[in-house]
Amino acid sequence: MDVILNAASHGGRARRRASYAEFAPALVVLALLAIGAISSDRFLQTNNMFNILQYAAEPALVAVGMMFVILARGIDLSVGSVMGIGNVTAALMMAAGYPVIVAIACALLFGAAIGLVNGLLVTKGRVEPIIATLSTMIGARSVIYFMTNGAPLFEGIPKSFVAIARGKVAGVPNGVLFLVLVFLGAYVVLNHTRYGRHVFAVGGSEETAKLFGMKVLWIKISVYVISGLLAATAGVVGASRLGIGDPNAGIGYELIAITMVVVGGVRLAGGVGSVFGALSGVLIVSILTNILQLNNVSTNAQHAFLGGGIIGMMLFLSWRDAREG
Amino acid sequence: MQMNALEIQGVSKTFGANKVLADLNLSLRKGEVHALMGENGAGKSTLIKIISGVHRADEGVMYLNGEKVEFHSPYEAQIGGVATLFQEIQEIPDLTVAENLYAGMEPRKNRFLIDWKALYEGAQKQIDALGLKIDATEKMRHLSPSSRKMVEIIRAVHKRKASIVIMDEPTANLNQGEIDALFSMIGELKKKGVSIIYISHRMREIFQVANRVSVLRDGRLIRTEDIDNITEEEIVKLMVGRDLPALYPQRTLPENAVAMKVTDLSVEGELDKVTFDVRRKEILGIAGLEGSGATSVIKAMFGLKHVTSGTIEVDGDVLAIRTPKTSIAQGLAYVPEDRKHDGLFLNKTVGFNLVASVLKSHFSRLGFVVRKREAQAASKDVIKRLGIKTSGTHSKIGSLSGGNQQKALLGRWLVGSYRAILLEEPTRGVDIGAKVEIYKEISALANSGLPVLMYSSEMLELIGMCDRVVVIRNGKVSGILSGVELTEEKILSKALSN
Repeated sequence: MDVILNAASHGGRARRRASYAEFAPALVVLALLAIGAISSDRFLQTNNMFNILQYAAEPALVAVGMMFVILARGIDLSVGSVMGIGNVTAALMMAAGYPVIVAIACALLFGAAIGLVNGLLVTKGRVEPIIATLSTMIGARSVIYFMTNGAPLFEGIPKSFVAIARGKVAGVPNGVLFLVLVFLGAYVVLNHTRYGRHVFAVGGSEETAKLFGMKVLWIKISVYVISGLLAATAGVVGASRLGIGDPNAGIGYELIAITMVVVGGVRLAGGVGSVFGALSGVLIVSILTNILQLNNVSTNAQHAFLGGGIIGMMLFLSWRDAREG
Repeated sequence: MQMNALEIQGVSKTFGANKVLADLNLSLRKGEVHALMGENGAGKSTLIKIISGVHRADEGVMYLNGEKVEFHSPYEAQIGGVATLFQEIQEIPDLTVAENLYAGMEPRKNRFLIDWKALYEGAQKQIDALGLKIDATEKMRHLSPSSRKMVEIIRAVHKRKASIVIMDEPTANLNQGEIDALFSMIGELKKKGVSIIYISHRMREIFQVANRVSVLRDGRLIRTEDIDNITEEEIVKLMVGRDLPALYPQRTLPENAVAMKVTDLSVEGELDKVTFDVRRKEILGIAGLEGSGATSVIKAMFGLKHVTSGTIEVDGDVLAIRTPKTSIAQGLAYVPEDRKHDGLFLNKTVGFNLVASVLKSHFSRLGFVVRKREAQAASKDVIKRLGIKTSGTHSKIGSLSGGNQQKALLGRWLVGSYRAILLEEPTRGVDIGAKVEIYKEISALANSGLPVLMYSSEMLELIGMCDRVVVIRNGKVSGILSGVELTEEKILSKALSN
């Protein structure tokens, strides 16, 4: 593990070398690919690969938003409910005859608005993020049941809307494109803009960020808005994929998203993590699920595998953090 | 007449019932280094916090380069041209050195994307220009404390075109080379007409860099004087407002009986078979250069290092070296060098901090705290005995000044009974007045019959306080000095070679 150490701390000038630990999530992805290939001959087929990525799209959208929040030392438990909000808002609006584009815009705005509420509760209201977003999680789900009376919407969803998730561009399913686009966008924002770097800074040390003249308040609110917006987007994609408005859409997604982000090496205490790592986290969970399904492992047992995998990854990451001091 | 860089008139500030600053005036000339002196609690920290926008004055006005200013936040002050280096390092530990240097001002291309090349090259150029060996691509977290401080200094000084730079104890963690680099930076700033407010407890530095010195006491400006017209003794006298008693207490001779015996103490890569003994009523010093392992001796004894071999005997009983908890249970008292991180519960009350380590053994039954009132009384005693300035046992310890926090740290071990006292840098960042009181208490602890072991990086302190000094070099004991041999030169020569 000498690679993480460096001569600079002793006054030398060695270039910083990336540690193995930083690539650990990516290595796990490679290992899972190998295991998948060995355990099932269907695994490596293009079809299956697209399948994995396509199904990863919705959780990935949520996970990317979650990553912004966690990097800024927050947490967003409301994402699952916001997904549901996005899902049924779009469906209801289209059923009521509004154009697809208007329906989508309203769904996304609704999601962003809940994110704004989260952000204001956390900053202006000084409520702990976990409590603030827990209450919006419960509240938003209740709003969904009021909007739909708890019943799924099957009617009035136009074909053009369904094509959004089911369509293909040059043979690549749109879902895969969403996944690629959201990570590309996150990469540019987090690694190449002042805003992105300041998100890291706020998560690393809020006090210092303030002294450095960063707009801490605005950054803390904005990460929740981004999270809400992306969760609502995932909800819209879900509605499009199934062609129905589902009041139960998104239930449990907050945990999936947190899992993906954290398995990808993003530190829950904020300030540390990479887009590449988060992508690996998304892939780890998706590929593992796919392998288990291909091998006809029962759903109950799948969760045990996932839980075990997460614990193993977390033990490794905490060991790494301890090494880094 | 030339306009002053900063003009403060009639500034007052009250916290609760405590008047910290009273009708204070101060003027700062363009391009001067102005030393601010005063005991802990004299109001220096509050004053610089008002200038840098952290606090707001209750009364009074401030003119910056002739213009009346009122800062509502540290950021506004920065924009206005006041850069402040607080005692605690301001940094984002998981971002790189270059990012910390440019934080909030990252160079951009196309008005949107960060120009990483310009950022890293610019940062490295600034570091190299000062002759520092710091890699701009390194994460802050991986640097030594002194390198981190230097990065912060570069940032504060070179950014935002500051017209005033405030430095609060900037040399606290720096080595000589870095202090030289800092002083050459200060020289350049002066040439550019930047004014510097410089706070330090190190008198020698004040005479080295300052043009003028202002002494504060009890929230008032006592005197401002050109550095050439004042002596060290006069400054000290102005600070304390009375003739200072002897710095070090008169010591009685230790007894011959050995009270604590440390044998073959080893820590992988840090200590190699360190052996010494401490007699009854003796203060034994530990000295050594940075990296010698001297700082590890006490930590190892207290169970904070992975000890590969060695025994500690106190009054004939062999102690198990395992964890701090077992060490405390076996009667070792420990004052750590980093009081903020390792010593105090900053957001707990003074009373809690004083009795925290003995709560279980002295004031509770079956795991419940049952003797609250007695615990309170005990902490009140300690506050009185050490002269800790606080509004009561219920105020948060983090709100106390550095010297008073340090006293509390020592005071914790006055409650309860111990068999040996281990001290690390007992007077770090503490002014002369508080030092005298801390020294007196340490001496009293020794006189009560306890063996006292004390590590300090200040040689004069070791010579003044200790009966004997163990010098560590390369993790080994290179000599034990006492009596007439106990001089700076002898310690240094033992620390450097055999």
